[in-house]
Amino acid sequence: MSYAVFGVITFTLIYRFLSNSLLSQLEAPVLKDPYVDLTYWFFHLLHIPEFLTGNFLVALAFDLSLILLPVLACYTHRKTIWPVLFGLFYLTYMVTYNSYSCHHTHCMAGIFLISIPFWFKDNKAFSLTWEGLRYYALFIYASAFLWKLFRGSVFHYDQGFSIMLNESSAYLLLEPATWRSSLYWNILENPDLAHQLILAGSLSQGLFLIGFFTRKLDWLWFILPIIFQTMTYLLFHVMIYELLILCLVFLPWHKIREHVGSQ
Amino acid sequence: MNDYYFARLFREHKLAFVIVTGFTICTLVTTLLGDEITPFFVWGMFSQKETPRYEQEIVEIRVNDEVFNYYTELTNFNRHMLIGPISFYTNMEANGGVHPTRKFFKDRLTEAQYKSWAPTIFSITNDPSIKREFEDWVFRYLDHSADEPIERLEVFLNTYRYESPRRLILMQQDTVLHL
Repeated sequence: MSYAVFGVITFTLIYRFLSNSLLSQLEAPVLKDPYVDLTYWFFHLLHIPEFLTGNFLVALAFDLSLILLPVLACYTHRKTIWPVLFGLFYLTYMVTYNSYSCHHTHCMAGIFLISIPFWFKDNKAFSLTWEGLRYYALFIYASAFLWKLFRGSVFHYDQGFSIMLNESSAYLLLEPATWRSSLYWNILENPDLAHQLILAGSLSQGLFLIGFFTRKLDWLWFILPIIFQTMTYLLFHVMIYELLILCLVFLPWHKIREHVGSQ
Repeated sequence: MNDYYFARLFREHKLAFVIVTGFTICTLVTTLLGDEITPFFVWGMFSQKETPRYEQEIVEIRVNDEVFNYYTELTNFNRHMLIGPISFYTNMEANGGVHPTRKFFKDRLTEAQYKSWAPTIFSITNDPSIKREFEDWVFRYLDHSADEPIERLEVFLNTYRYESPRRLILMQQDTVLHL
């Protein structure tokens, strides 16, 4: 299991490196947005993001550690020090990147949270926190649905069309001749379709409420986020693929272990 | 089933029980309040009721006098790291150079409260004098990310109006940065 979790994490970090998004690649950013998140305040009051990004060698050492820690966690299962350090480093990276990108995106939350069960040496504690993470993964989508329900946006006719206008206009201007733009134009010309798409997406999030009462549909909770995040990326250009790491909590790991063991 | 999980957690591992229960309570509180404190996230993205905005503000970047296509030239995270601060900076300029977080507190606190919190708020936000440093950073980051060397860099905030779903008309162009 640790191979799968920390392997995926290493892959996402390499993608971030290729995207010029690790701290040593940010070129010492200056504009920050801690907003009203007390954790961000705490980090900035201690000048941690400023210290890490302000000196290239410090930032490089931080990045190398960030990439090396999940590799160490992969190969030294019994040592909890690496997952603990990785969790702390990743939280620091998340706060720093979000603060300097001036947008507190949630896509990195899953990677930080999935490291927590590995902080425990005890197998029982690991299993229990892993199970807790399954509930949390359900909560993410269920609460996203409840927010939309209580704010009345689930059935709000203009919702899909309006989000599409906001999220796709820059792309339409810069890339007007692609298949994706053609898709956007068609949706913008058919507000009914935009409404139905957003309604289907919101209601599919509501389905996650069922997961609190049965494990029989765990395969569905594994697949639905993949479809949901892909649609979000295709339609709104919002990339939250890193959150998909939480899909791993819905896999039948005991069966996978038996299967691998029998090979 | 949830109660069953917490009961089992309490019975089988006290430390895990304290951590999971504490995390759950904090997450529920921040969710109910609608204000998150990382890592107690609020998952309410795209839940605010939206009405169509037929006027859209779009960042245009010109590198060496040519429009820079930040959708094809940059990856998602790369673009996010560039466009996010530029948009934030334009908000700051629209506030008369005042950092949006400072404005957020100024609008919500009494004058006396704001004065007592000001040293903290000021130490974690930017001053209007950040302009020059910010311009330099945009240049450095884009120069590092783009394929071609940058000699001239201009950033505009363009306001477009949808005449129809397939027709965007440029209404206004404001210069954000000019290097």
